[in-house]
Amino acid sequence: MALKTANEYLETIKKMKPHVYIGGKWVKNLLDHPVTRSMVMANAAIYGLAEDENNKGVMVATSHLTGEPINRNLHVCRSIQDLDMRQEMALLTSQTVGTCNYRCVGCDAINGLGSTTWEMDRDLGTKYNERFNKWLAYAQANDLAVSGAITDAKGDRKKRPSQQEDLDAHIHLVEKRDDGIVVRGYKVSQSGAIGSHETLVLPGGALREGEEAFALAFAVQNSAPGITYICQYNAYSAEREACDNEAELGNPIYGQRETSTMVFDDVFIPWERVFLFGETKYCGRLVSRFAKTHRMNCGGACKVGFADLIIGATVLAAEYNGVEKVSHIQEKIIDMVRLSETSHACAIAAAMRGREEPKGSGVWMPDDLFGNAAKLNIADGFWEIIKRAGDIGGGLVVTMPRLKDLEDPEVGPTLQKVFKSAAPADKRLKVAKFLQHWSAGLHGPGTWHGAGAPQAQRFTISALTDFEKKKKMAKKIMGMKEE
Amino acid sequence: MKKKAKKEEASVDETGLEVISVKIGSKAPTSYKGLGGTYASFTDSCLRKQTLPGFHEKGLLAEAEPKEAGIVLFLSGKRNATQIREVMDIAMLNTGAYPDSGGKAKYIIEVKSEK
Repeated sequence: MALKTANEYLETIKKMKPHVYIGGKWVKNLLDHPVTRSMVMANAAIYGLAEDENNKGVMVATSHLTGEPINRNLHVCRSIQDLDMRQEMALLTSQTVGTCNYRCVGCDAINGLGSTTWEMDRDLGTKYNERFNKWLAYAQANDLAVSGAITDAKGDRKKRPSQQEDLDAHIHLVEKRDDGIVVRGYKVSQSGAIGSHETLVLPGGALREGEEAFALAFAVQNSAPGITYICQYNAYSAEREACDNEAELGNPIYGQRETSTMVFDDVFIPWERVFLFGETKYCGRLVSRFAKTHRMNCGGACKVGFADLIIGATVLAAEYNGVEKVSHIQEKIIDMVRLSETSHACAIAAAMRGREEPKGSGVWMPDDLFGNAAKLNIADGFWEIIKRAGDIGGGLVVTMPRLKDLEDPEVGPTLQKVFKSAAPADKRLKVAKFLQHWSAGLHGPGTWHGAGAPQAQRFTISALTDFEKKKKMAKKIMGMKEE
Repeated sequence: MKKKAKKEEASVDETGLEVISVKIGSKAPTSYKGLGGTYASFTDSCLRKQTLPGFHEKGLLAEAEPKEAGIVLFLSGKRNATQIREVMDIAMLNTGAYPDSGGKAKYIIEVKSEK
């Protein structure tokens, strides 16, 4: 079976038993808890997209390992066309679920590992790429949902991993055995790890000589004994738990973006799943290759899909309020489109300027500069978009009563009159609730930090930009002489 | 016949997968296929963590005894073969092994109700 249906994915999840804690409760079945269910349903919808004949070009790829059709979330990009379809997948999935494609980080980790394990084998004579490809073929054959764990807890940022008071602030080696390794530590902000079959764990950043114990990359089963997931909990989680009808919520089925802290308590990883072990020199480039891929997709396409939904709802809000023809409203909506499509243009450019990296690996990576520009642009742009959505949506976006209050026998008839505008009150409030989900929700900070906070993109853009060349060009046209 | 068996074994090695047989009572064993190292993960769970993958509560696994090319497990309480099969199906899936129709088993897990 190379492609799972949404139902087949859900059947496997019913049997998966990860150790999950959320808001004071242990979750025995991910589909029983309203918050964890929203994450699983989003993943199921992503599987469902690959079933639709209209989406095959975007969602289905051909495995370079077996020649079989596979879900693109498990594909290593082998061409510019693949890179372009990868970013299109990020766009389509966001437009479909209005939250994370929880297989996205895993997909970009697969590409980072495909490239870097090949390079290590070339340089060091190791067998990591062969090992990684066997794992990948297994993941493709079973169409596994794979998440990616990158961000360590980090501890005191002034100190290196080995200087931390608690070494668990970074995932690290505890024991090396004949059959594998034992690891412990924390990974934070892990999108959708709970509803995945496996997680790819990468180092959180570049490492130096002497930090070999932290230089680890591996795949781990979701329910491996010793892993505990402590889920995020916030006002949106509480609202979802408290409501008796999900239709009341901003994103009824798929919810907000759900993440967890992964606690690794002496977890065993067999050698067959270890793809980097102590090679500190390659950690920085592995993370950088993951990041450039993820910045193209997360920044330049995923958030653009979200923006499409926000723009659509904002236009509806304007129509329902009867202000759609007002010139400053139209201007603001056009600005939203400009901010969004500029980022998408960067993602397309990053794909079109992609190249094989390293040469001979067969793995194609997007252009670093355009990928980083996409993410940096949307980090600010997304706030601008939700600012305008809140502006046009009006104060109602945060002052509205519950949707079901419209049906209350005592206050409902009054509320129907209060909120009737160019549209009935229920339509107006439904759109306001959707805009609340975005403009007063988790996605603003999530977009800022996801795929790395903007300072990381500024650093990369600075390193990639030839400022001397630009100075020379300016001097030449001004007629200034070189000193 | 002998040649065919050899070929099956070789193909399993080439793909990096391993077949694990789960034997419960007198019924025919069931095969699961997982990535190499799956059996090592499973036995680590039983012997070091004293639990079955996917079962976090203590006490389900009463005893685990390594045996040549395999392991013998004793589950707590009185359970019939169908109940044990349900538990093992979840445990194998949670260790990354999926039901498989063929292939030569490299490892055998024998499961019994508590002694």
